[in-house]
Amino acid sequence: MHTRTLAQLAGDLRARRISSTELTRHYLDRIERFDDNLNAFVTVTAEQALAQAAAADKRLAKGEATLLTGIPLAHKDIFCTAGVKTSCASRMLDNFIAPYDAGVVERLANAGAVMLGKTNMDEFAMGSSNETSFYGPVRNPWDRTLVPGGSSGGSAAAVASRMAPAATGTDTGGSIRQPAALSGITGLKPTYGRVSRYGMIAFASSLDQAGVLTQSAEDAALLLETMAGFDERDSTSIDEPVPRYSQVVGEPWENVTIGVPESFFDEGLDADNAAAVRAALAELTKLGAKLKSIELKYINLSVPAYYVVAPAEASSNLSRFDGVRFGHRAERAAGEDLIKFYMRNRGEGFGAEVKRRILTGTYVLSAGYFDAYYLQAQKARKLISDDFANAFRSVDFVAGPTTPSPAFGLGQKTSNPIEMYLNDIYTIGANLAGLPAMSIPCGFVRNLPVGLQLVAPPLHEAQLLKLAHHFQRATDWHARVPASYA
Amino acid sequence: MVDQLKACDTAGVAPMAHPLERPQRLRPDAVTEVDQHEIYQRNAPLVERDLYLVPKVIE
Repeated sequence: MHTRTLAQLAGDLRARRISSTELTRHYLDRIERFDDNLNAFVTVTAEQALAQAAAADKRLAKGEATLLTGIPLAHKDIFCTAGVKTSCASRMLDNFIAPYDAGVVERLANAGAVMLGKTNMDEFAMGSSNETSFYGPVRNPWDRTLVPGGSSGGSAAAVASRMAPAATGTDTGGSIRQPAALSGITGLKPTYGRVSRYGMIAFASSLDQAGVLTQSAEDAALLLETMAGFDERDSTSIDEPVPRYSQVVGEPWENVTIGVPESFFDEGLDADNAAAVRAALAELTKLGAKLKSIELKYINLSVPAYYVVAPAEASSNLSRFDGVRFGHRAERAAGEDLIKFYMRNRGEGFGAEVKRRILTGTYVLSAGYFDAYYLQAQKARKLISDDFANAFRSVDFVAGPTTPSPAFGLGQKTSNPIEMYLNDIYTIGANLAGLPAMSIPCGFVRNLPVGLQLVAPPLHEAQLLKLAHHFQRATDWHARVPASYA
Repeated sequence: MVDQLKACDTAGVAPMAHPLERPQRLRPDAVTEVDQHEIYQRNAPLVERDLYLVPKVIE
């Protein structure tokens, strides 16, 4: 049952071959059985899930179901869930019970989806390996000594091990695509503003975007169709109609041209990983796509620009965590003044990587350095964005590797932040330019999955999903499940 | 890493303010929030008479 895709499960539910209650129990059992080994969940909401499943079964019986009614899902613990702990994997929010639902959570709940629980992540989504979580690292289902990628590592591991048929995630610099690649699943980051950020705990507001981690492009289409759309509670939400992604995804192939930035295949990329991506591109040409070499002249600036802009925004966003209205409050010391009180609340509440980024962010925004760092980074961002816009004049997509290598060992990169940051070298560009992008499984390197990244112009999610779906109809990389969880 | 950024010639480039360069949406100047302080204050470490408590600020 757990190897069935969302599209298949939706069919099973509507044909009453299975009930949502049975399906939900099945996944809760799998979480119970496997999660001690993987640490993918911060909170499992079994009771609430079974109540939602019972309601979904009534809705299915009355014939009032949507495509997602009765489908169990996991939410990244960055999305507020009313009445349920929403921690962002930080000690700061270890005691925080969200007073309302995030826009994404609300839309999926209204469609009748069942929430299995909240998934582990890097603290405040700051990390590329899921090792900065207050609740400990998530392990990679393909090899438990390795990281699953981050920051949506819990969502990726939960789907890869089939503890959930699909999960939500967020992507600020690659946090959906990178763990999807390292965990052997499909990940989609939509256009900036396509999915509501309301109730999604902010990291870097001009880059953050919610998306999905699934078993296939077809499943991603199904979820995005419900998640996407205008939300007046998000000031940068895009007010444009949402295509019927789940129908468009299967439409016939069109002639497409795929741009390949040759600089993505330089010495920074593992040779076997490069070979797998080249083979996937060759497969796409067999399916009728044309490849074209392109140059993204300023793409090498994306990592430094990102690690100025994102911390700057984070330092501002995270100033709300002061331990007064909510969040961690340190034990009260006698005669302590307000400044010391803030310092101790924040000092105890935040982990090392979060502190590093807050300090970096306040530094690049400070009066003497603002022009040299923050403003310069925003200018570089413009150049990177223009690079993509120019490329899309002659190609429909940009494709390349998602990550420089397959999954690496727990602890292998934690001592060197720069090395960790370079994991995002191929993914950050799409965030800086606000573009939709996917990672799809495209082969194995030393028995570990690797991803092919596809990037499209703004609001071209339907075309992106269609391209990925056609690739997945011709290949089976995306359907492979780690032996221990098959 | 940041030296690379400093070395880039950005003369005449306008800094990017929005990923899709869309204008910020405006809304009517009307109160839309409703009073939910009881719900919100359930998460507060210390509350007294609907007020959040902090260490003494003014002697």
